[in-house]
Formats: sequence, structure tokens, C-alpha cells
Amino acid sequence: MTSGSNSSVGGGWDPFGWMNIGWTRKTGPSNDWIYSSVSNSSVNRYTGERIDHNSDKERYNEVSDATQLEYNYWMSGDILNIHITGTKSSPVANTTNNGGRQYLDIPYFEDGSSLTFGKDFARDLQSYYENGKGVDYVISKRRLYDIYNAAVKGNGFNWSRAESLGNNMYSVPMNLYNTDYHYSFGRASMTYYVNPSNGLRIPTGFYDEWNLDPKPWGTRSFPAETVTRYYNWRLNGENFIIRYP
Amino acid sequence: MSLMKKRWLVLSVLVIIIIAATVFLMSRRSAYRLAELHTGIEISERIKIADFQDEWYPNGDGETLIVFDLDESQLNEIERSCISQEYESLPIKDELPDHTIYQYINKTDSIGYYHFKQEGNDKRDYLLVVLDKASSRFYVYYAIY
Repeated sequence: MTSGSNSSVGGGWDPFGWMNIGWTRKTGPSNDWIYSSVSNSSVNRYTGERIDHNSDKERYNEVSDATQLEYNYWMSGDILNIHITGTKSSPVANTTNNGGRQYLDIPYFEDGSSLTFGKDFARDLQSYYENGKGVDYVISKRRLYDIYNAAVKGNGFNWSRAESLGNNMYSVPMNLYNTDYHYSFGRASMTYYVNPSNGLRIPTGFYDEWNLDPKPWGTRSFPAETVTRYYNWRLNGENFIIRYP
Repeated sequence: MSLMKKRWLVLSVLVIIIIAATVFLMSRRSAYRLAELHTGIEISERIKIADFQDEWYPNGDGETLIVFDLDESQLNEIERSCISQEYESLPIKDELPDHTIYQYINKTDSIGYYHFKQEGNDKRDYLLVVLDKASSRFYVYYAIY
């Protein structure tokens, strides 16, 4: 193992309301392990973001419930940036109101669910389209919360179109175009509960249908119809519903 | 450059221009053309557009919302078309997948006509056309999830 060298470490609160432990830039020899650790007594959980020179920005989904996070990476290149965030959230979902936007602290769930992001998640769904035989794809609660946070960050909710379902439950259309999920979803529907004591929202459900159905030319925009028809031609699969629960 | 090469070059440029022009023409989306496409009703370009939203995403999801302000003669003309196409009378009796239209009209509005059509298997994909005589407005809404 090689420890590498830190070139910068920052701090402060990031836009998600999480404590930004800092950016750590590791440099080391190619094709070797990088080992490092971070500790901060004010947080009890960590999530991270990894960027390397070979791929798009990618969050890694390692979560630790310790006051110290240790991590290992296989270095395939020359630079690895690791952005560590931590939070003191309890295992019960909390909502952070940051600058008028409500983000959820994503708790560490014991269900062993792991998250893939961006193009990787889209490839998972594409594979499910080809092999899932039309069976519903049920996302995890962590995924639900992550989608919610992504939509909040990307201004993807049409709050003015929210429809009351009774008992402080609402259904709202959303788009995920300005988020990491734009390869996976365009528009979708989410249900949420509004806590009457503080007005904060907790997502409770998600629904979308993944399909590649062509429409008559002119119905969609030309690029949208062209891309839809291309994938309909390229992929052989069955439409399926993505939902929670 | 040989004559043959020049001919190939000119031909290639022509093909590129034709493809580019075709893509450009097919990409043009005016509120009038879209309203006619969805409703089958001829919409004069003299009619004033109050709102036009046409957002489509690369995965094929999106929506089109068009709101026209009508004067009296335009209202009468579109009303005749709605009647000839056997539109239903307001208020909307169908259970709508979402409340988009109710940002513009009241659920109890009863003077006018509407047409509701669900698209495909996803109940959230639909076309809704509303002629609201109380506000002299004509709405065309089309959504795909």
C-alpha cells in the first residue's frame, strides 16, 4: 500500500447541508493501492465523491457509521480526488432546510442496498429492460431519497402541480433532467408526506414507466423522437415499471 | 483536384445541406402546428398565444402546453369545431392523471368543451383539449412520462 500525498483539504457546509470534510487529492504511482483515512469528531457518518481523470464525476457510495472513515482505492491513473462529506444524521430520515430547499439526510440503511449513479444506473435499467421480462423494478429507500435530493437540487419538482391524496400525503410530477439521473429518467411521479408540525417533506413513493415507445412524428420534439426510436430499434426488451414501495 | 473528386465534393455538400434542411424543418415546432396536430382543428395564426411550453427530454418524456386567447369570432369558430368533433361539455368528468389544467381553469367551470384521451398503457400519458368559454381560452395539453 502507498499512502499517497494530500494536496488540499477544505471544510465547511456544502449545499446539501452536509459537513464538507474536504477535498483530498491523492497522487501516487499508477497501478497501486491508495490508502488513507479521515476522521472528524463532529460527524458520525460519511459519504464520498470520487473523481478521476478517466471517467465522469462519480459519487462513491461508501457509507461509514464510524467517526473515522478509511478507504482504499486502486489507482489506475495518476490523480484521484476524493470529496468526503459527513453528517450527524440519525438512522431516521431528517430533513435539512438549506437556503429554502429541503434536502434529506440519507440515513444508513441496514438493507445492504448500494447505489450506482449516472450512466451506471442507466445501464442497470437498460439491462433490466432487456432481461427483466416486464417485472416491476423496485428501488430501495436510499435510492428514493437520493432521487428526491437530486430533484430538489435540480429544481425538478413541479410543486404547483402537487395533488393532495389526503392525510398530508401528496403526489407531485417531477423531472430529473438536470440531475445525475437524466440518463435514467425524464419525468416521473413522487408521493410525499408533509410533517404537519414543521412542514417538511418526506418522500414516500416513486413511480415511472420505463419504455421506448415511438410516437407519431411531430408529437415529441424531433431529437427526442429520434433518440427514442433509435433505442427502440437497438434494444430488445419489455417495458417495466419503476416504483417504490 | 480531378473532375470526379469535384463532383463527389459537390454531391456530398448537397446531401449535407438537404439533411440539415430536413432536420431543421422537422425540428420547427410552432404552437399553431402542434395544436393542429393534437386537435385536428385548424388554428389561425391570428390567434394570440397566451402560453406555450414545449419541453422534451432525450429519453422521450416531455410535455406540450399551449394556451390561446380567443376573441369572440375565434371562440365561435373553435366552438363549432369542438361540437363537430363531438367534444364533451365541461366540467371535466374524466379522472385526470394530474392537476395541470386546474392551474388554469376551475374544476367547476361548466361553460365550454373538452376532449380527453389517454395514450398507451401509462395512465399519466394523455392529451387534454379544453375550450373554456368563461375565459375565452383554448388549452391543449399533451404529456408523456
